[in-house]
Amino acid sequence: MFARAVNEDATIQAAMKDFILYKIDAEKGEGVELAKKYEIRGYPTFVAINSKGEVTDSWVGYGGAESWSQTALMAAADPRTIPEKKKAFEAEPTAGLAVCLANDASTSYDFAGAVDYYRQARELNPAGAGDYTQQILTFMYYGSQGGAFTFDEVEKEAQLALNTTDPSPEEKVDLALMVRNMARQTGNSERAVPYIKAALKATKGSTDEGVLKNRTHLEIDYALLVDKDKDKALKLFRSTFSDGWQENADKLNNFAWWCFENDVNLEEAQKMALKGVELADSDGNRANILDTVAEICNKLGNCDEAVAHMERAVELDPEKKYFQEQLVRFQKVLEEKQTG
Amino acid sequence: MRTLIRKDQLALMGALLAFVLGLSGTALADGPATFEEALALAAKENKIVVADFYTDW
Repeated sequence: MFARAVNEDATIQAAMKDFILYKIDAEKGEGVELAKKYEIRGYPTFVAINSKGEVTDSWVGYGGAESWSQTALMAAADPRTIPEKKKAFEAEPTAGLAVCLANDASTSYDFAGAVDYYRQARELNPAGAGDYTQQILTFMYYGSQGGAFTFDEVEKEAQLALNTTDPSPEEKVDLALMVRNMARQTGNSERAVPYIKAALKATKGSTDEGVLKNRTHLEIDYALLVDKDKDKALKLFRSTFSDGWQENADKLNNFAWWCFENDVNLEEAQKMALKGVELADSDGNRANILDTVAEICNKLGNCDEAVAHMERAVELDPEKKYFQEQLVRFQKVLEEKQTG
Repeated sequence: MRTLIRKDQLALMGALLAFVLGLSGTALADGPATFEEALALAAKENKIVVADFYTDW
């Protein structure tokens, strides 16, 4: 998208008069060393660099022509290096500097640092609170994946976003998806319900393709968490797969794993996962899907089959400790079943 | 086990939800040919370089 926009978008082309855009394939030629030098961790990452090769700004992702151009122009307008900007911020904090330093922190995956800077930006410029809160939540969400934030901390900020910043319908969907993912990971699925309800209400009647896709995922959660209707959830979940998914090992596995996680449609899930095992393109992937099969067998009470599938997974990927632990787990269940 | 996240999906995760991502892959029509040239041009025109780090995968 960015590549096309560079050549076609008038906003980006106008902005480019103020700086020199240089594209670097991080895995080829000079790009390999440059990516190392500038500690690039994800793509696309944009790094503003002065003529001495020093970093003056950096950010992750292309957020559309308007947003990208605005960020790049702000970078071009302040060519001080990051250490200089940090010093200036300590002496005289401004919201603009806080945002710049937050984005730079996020580029190196220092999400706690990014959140701290954005919170300062919010205090310095209350008029921008809505946007800053969305950014804070996004960084908290990514930070939580590495243990930087607890679910309680993220939810507190999410409540603030939902109740005080008047998020747009699309932002409500993003918010609901973030909270729902975290809630699920931490065993707090029920706590995502208010966010799911708010997002579904705000986007009712939407014809936007992206919104509709995300709505379906939220409707699945609603069916599971509010309606307690697993069949409805399964029907909606099935509708999210594109044609030909039954010939794709990863998709078959995802389908089976979802059924396992939600304890629904286990017989079909087992068949699909076994088909995924056949179609898998590597032993590692095959072992991964066999783990799904074993979990389903175990849930169905077929403990001997679970052990057999897990033994095969360990054979295919003997280095993976998790599979060995799973085998021991299933063997214990089988033993208990036989003795007791 | 849930299908593990592949490299390309990780890249998407690394970018922020608030952004709509697009991987770059097209050379600029009239840009500097090397990074050193880009820095030299920046010095000459008193501008900064915005480096777009991307991959093809």
